[in-house]
This record gives sequence, structure tokens and C-alpha cells, in this order.
Amino acid sequence: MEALNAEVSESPAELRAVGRRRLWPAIKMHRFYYLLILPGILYFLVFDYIPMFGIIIAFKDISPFQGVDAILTGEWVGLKHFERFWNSYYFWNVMQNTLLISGYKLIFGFPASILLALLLNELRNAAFKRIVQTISYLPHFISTVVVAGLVMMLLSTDGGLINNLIVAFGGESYHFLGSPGYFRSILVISHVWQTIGWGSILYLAAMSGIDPGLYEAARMDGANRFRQAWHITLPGIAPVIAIMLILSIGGLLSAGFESVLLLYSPSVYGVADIIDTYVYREGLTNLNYSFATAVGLFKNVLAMVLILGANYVSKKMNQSGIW
Amino acid sequence: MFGKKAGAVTAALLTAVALTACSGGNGNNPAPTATESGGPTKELPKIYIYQNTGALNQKPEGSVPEKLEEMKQHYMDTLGIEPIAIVPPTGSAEEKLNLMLGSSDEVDTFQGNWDDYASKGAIIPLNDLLDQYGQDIKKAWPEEAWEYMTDKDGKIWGIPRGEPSVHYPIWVRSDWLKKLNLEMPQNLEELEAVMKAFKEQDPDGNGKDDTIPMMTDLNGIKNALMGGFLQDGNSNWIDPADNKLKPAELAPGFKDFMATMADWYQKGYIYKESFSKFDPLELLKTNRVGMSSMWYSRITLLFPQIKPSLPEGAEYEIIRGIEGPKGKLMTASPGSTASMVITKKAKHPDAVMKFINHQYQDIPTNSLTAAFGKDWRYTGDNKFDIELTTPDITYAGEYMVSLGTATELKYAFNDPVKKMHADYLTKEALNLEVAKMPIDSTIIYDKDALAENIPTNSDIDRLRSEELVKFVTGARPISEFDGYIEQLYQAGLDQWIEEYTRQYNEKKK
Repeated sequence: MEALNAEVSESPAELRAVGRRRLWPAIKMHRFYYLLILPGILYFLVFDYIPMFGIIIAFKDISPFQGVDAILTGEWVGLKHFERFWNSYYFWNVMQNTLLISGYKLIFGFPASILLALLLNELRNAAFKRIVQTISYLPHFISTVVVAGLVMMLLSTDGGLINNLIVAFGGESYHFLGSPGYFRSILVISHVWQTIGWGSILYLAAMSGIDPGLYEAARMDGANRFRQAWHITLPGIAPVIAIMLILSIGGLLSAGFESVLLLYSPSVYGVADIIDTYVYREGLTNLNYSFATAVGLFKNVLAMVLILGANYVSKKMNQSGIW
Repeated sequence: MFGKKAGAVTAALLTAVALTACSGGNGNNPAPTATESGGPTKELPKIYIYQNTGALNQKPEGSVPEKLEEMKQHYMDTLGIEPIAIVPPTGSAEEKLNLMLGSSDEVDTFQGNWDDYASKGAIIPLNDLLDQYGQDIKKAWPEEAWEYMTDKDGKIWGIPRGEPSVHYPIWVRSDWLKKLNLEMPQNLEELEAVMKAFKEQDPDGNGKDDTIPMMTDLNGIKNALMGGFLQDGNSNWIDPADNKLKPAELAPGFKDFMATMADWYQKGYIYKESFSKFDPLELLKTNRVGMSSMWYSRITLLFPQIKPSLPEGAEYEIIRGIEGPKGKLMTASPGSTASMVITKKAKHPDAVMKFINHQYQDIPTNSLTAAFGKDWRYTGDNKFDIELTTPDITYAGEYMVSLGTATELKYAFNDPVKKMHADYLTKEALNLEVAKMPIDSTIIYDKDALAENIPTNSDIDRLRSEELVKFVTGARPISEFDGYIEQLYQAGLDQWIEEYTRQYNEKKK
């Protein structure tokens, strides 16, 4: 830092000017790389940043049919829509479901990928390892609609595999998807099945970056494979785990809109209705765009708080965070 | 150097691909405008029809493309209007429509409850258009039907879709009744006895305990059965104690209704997945369904399609004259605000009205053509009996905008697959004697005022349907019924009763 200060002794204004002078040649020099990221930037600009302007309708009363102008001209109503949500009969129910479903997904799904990666890492037969890895991450490429279809077919009371097995063993068929007691478990299990393999790829990549010398040293000290995994592999991938955890916590309020929407029915609304499905129904079905936007914004603000909090804690604990 | 160039080309290509993908079409695929005859053509007015009328139920996959084109050409030649049909995605037609209305997409006419859209400024009043271009439409519908289309200022907002009708009879496999030596049930006890027999005596004879005595859904149990338990059926009611309008949940008999349904569900008489998503056609195909208390067309449209694959003699018949302790089981569907409406953003509302009116001319000829294209003909000279000329329909009805009792009751099919449905419509649907009519059937509630004065209105609606399902499926024991009523009050039922009573008293004639 001192060296840097010694080298650049200009005033801040001059510094910025130098920065600008250096920026453009740098962009010119690497123009093809910049061109490559251009679609990505445009994508986020067009689909994520420009529409952000629309959140102001959360503080207005507008009807979806008044056209885009209404976003600007609509009447301001302050926090009316937020208050309506907080006072809604279903507020706590929706919050609880969202947190429980994504909490379960985090508790069961997050370590599952790490565990799978650790197990795969111990495999010595490369061909077998590749096959297992491929099979385990294939479900990631299946769309949620298809996964929901598979779940429905498996659990159907009308020829579904699980119920056929139950009946074959003398039991009575059971409508699992309509049962509040089973619904969340079904969601979480199908989520873990779908994401476990894909999640493990990142950890496997991190593991491959660990210095083999460490393992060698540990072996010479008499560490068995479990000890090696515990003392070398896990600490080696800890920063990646931390980053993934922060990202997951940021998504804690997104409990998997599509799978819930596709699988739920009135008999399980009580345990299945999450913020996103609530927003969907209020906005697109009941046409309360302003209200739905307010609920969505509320969710995003909470998610932001969560992600900042997780990042802070992570940095305090092991010095690694996203920023 | 070569590497650099290749990099540049790749980057440019990637950018181009991404940009093209981003700017993809809006899915409407505007059709070419020039007519095929070539030469200098005048631009015809285009009208965009959101096809959510139910016309496509007969062929959900849509028309054979060349037949659709042929029909479009037919309308372009006959009316000088180019119709463009937008086919909604199955299951989310309403969501897509709402998105289209709120965006810059073209949509000129669709079917919906006008009172949902009028106050939000999405549709236009039709009085002048009807006077100028819609005389045939006006003639085709009775005065009562127009009353449901008119607001308190006399503005007509939609073209009617139906009249008060009965839609929820209970259908039973009459061949199974005969086989098991059972009579047509006349009361709830006999109905339950039939279901018990279906469940236990294996009427399909496949040796398995897999018969489904009754397939139904939430609207099914409410409209086909509740009338037997509640004085006013599936309806709000006036509590004589305080003369206020209250929901059915508070009416005497509701708890019995719920308890009976729960008991039937528990005993396996009601299909386990009735209140989730299921496909009635697939279920009927299995030859295991003894009764249906769903919307009538689940039987009248679906059953004839699969009948050839069922054992000989398979037949569903309506159970007539059945009553419960409080009388008729069925509740009629009152006239509603469901209608064909014209959007505010329609560029040629006059063309839309002309187009719709054309299908009401020469009833039923033009509306049949709109429904079946050229695949039909009259079988006699009475302009009533018709038949399809091909076994498979080739044009699905994308341009059909005149669906409703005013046209549908004016013809009958000889074709066995279509006959059951047509017979129901012509002989059963308007016979209101067999059902109870909701007491506030003639009231068109002001939905904006409801939302304004009952802030938790949608929560209450949700509680009502959700908890009923829970009680019936056993997710909640009947012993918690009082707690449920308590819950309704916590959710704002007092406000609900006040506002509904106020509007009811104000609007009743």
C-alpha cells in the first residue's frame, strides 16, 4: 500500500483523471473480452435493472390496464399495500411456510451436496466416479415442470409406484400430495434429488485445487482417510462453502416458486403457500398489481438484509465473504 | 493475428445471437396481411381474438394449420376483416390474459366477467356498437340475459354467455346399477348405499378393489350436493335472527353437509384426488368411475369419446328427483357477468362487433361454421339436425366468438359423440326446476366496493374454500368446526356480512 502511495502521489482529482486515461486504453486493448460480456451486461440491464423502476407501483394505486404511463401518473398511497399485507390473515402463515420450506431445503440440501462431493472425492475408480457424477447431476437439467410431473406420477393414488408398493404390502393407498403432513417433505426430497449432483460439482472443483502435498504429509503423520477429509479437504473447501452458504441464505425467502405452484392444491395451501405463490395469485389472478409488487418488494428487502447479515457473519468468522 | 480475428468474430456472433434471443417475438406471430390473390390490396382491419371461450374444448390441440388459414380467408372474403386468434396456455388462460391486457400486446376481445374489467378501465361499453353493428346479437339473447350485462348507469359491457342454468347433476353408471340390482337412488341414504355397493361389489368385475364410487371436485360437492343439507343450497342466506346476508358456512345444515362429505371421503366413496389436480378423461378411461358430480360436460363431452373403449353397455345417466333432508341436491348457476367483451385498446371495435354479429346471423348456420368450419351439414331441411361430415374435426373453433345458449340450443347432433352434450344443453340445462336458485342470484355485487370495504375479502374467500377441503379430506377434524367459524370472524367476516348485506338490500328488486 505504501509503495502504491509513493508511486501515485497526485491529488484525488488527478487520480481520477489518470484512471480515466488508463481505463479507455485498457478497454480498447481488451475490447474483445468486453464485447463478450456485453450480452450479459445487456441482459441484466434490460431484464433486471430497467424493470426495477417499476417497484414504485408498490407505493401507488394503479390498475394493470392503465398502461405504462400509470406507473408515473398513478396516485401515491404510501405504505398502504405493505400494511395490508402485514395485516393480512395469511401474513404469518405465508412467512412461516416460506422460511420453513427453504430452511428445510437449506438444512438437508446444502450439506447433501458437500457430502456427495466428499464421497465422490474418495472414489478411486475414475470411470465409476464419472458415471455417478453424471447421473447425480442429470436431474438438474430436467425442468421443474417435468420433475413435478414425475413426483405426481410416483405418488398418484391411481397407479403411482409408491402407492402400488403400499397396496402390495397390504396397506391402503394414500394421497400424499394432498396431505399437509407430507407435502413439505415431498418438496424437500425432490429438491435435494434435483440439486445434489449439480451442487457437488463446485465443491469437487474446489477440492481439486487442494495441494496434494498436504494429504501426503497427513498420511505420513498417520491420518486415515476420514481424518484427511476432516482436516484437509473440508478446511480446503471452507471458503467455497461459506460463499455458497451466503448465497443460499440470500435465497432463503425464495422457497421454490415453481415446484410449489405445480404441486400444491387447496388441501395443502396451509403448509405450502409461500410468498411467491401469494404474489402470483394476488398479482396475476386477482389483478392487484400494486399490492403484489409491495409484497415482492418486502420479500426482496428482507432477502437483502439476510444476505448482508450472512456476509457480515461469514467475514467475522473466517475472513471470507462475497465482498 | 488469426486468433484475435477468430475471437472477434466469435464475440460478435455471440452478441448477435444473444441480442436476437433477447428481442424474440411476442408470440402473436402476426399473419401476413396481403390476401393471396395478390395485386394491390387494401389493408383489412385486423381483430385479435383471445380464444378463452371454451370453443377449443372439442379439440384442445387446435386446428390443422391449413384449415385455420382457410377459415381466416373465409372471414376476410366475407367480412373484409382479418381475424387473428390467440390461443391461451391450458390452465393459465386468465393469467396470460391479464398480462396481455396490461402490456402492449394486441387483444381486442375475450371472454370474462365484465364487472372484473369494467371498473379497471380495461373494456369499453357496447351500447352504441350494439345499436350500429350488433342488431342480430341483441335479438338472439333474451332481456334477462342483457340485465346481467348492464350496470346501474345503463351501460352494456358485454355480450351474454349464458342464462341461468343447471350444470351439476349427478351422473351414475346405470349399467352398474342394473348389474348390482340397485334402484336409482332417491335420497342421500340410497345414494350412499349405491356408493357402498360400487365400492365393495366390484361392479366392473376386474377382481380388484379399485372402483371410484364418485369423482367430484370442490364446485362439484357444493353445487351438486349441498342443496340437500342447506335450505338455500350453495348460496348466501338471510339469517332471520338479524335479517343479514350471511355466507353458507353460517347456515343451519352446513356442518352436517361437511361431516357427510368427510365421512364419504373417509370411506373411500369420493375420489382421493378430487381436490387436487386430476384429469377426468384419464380417470373415466379406466372404467372405474361409478358417479360424477362435476360440471356436466365432464360426462357429456368426455364420456362419449371414450365409450367405445369401455365394456359394452357402459352408460351414465342423470339421477333424477333425488333429495336430501332439505330438498333438492343441486344448486343452479345463476346468470352471471361472464360475457364477450371488447377491450379499450381494440383499434377496430366496430370490426370486432361486426365480426361477432356475423356469427349471430342466420342462427345456427354461421355459428356452426365458426365452431366446425366446413366439417358439418344439415341432415334435414329443418335447419336443426346436423352432422359432422368428417370423423375428425379439422378446424377447432379458434374464431368462435358466439358460444352460449343463444346459439348452442338451436341445433342438435345426430353424431353419437356429440349427441349427449347437445341433448343436455337442449333438454336439461335450462330446466331450473330441478335445482335451488341462490337467493342473491339477481344481484350484481359491486366488486370495487367489496374490495374497499372488506380489505380481507380475498383472505375470506380463500379460507372458505381451503378449510372446506381440509374438513372433507380429514386434514382437519369436524370437531374443530366452531374454531373454523371463529377463524372466519377473525379474518373479517363481520365486515363481509355488513358489506354484502348493504349491497344486497340496495340492489334487490
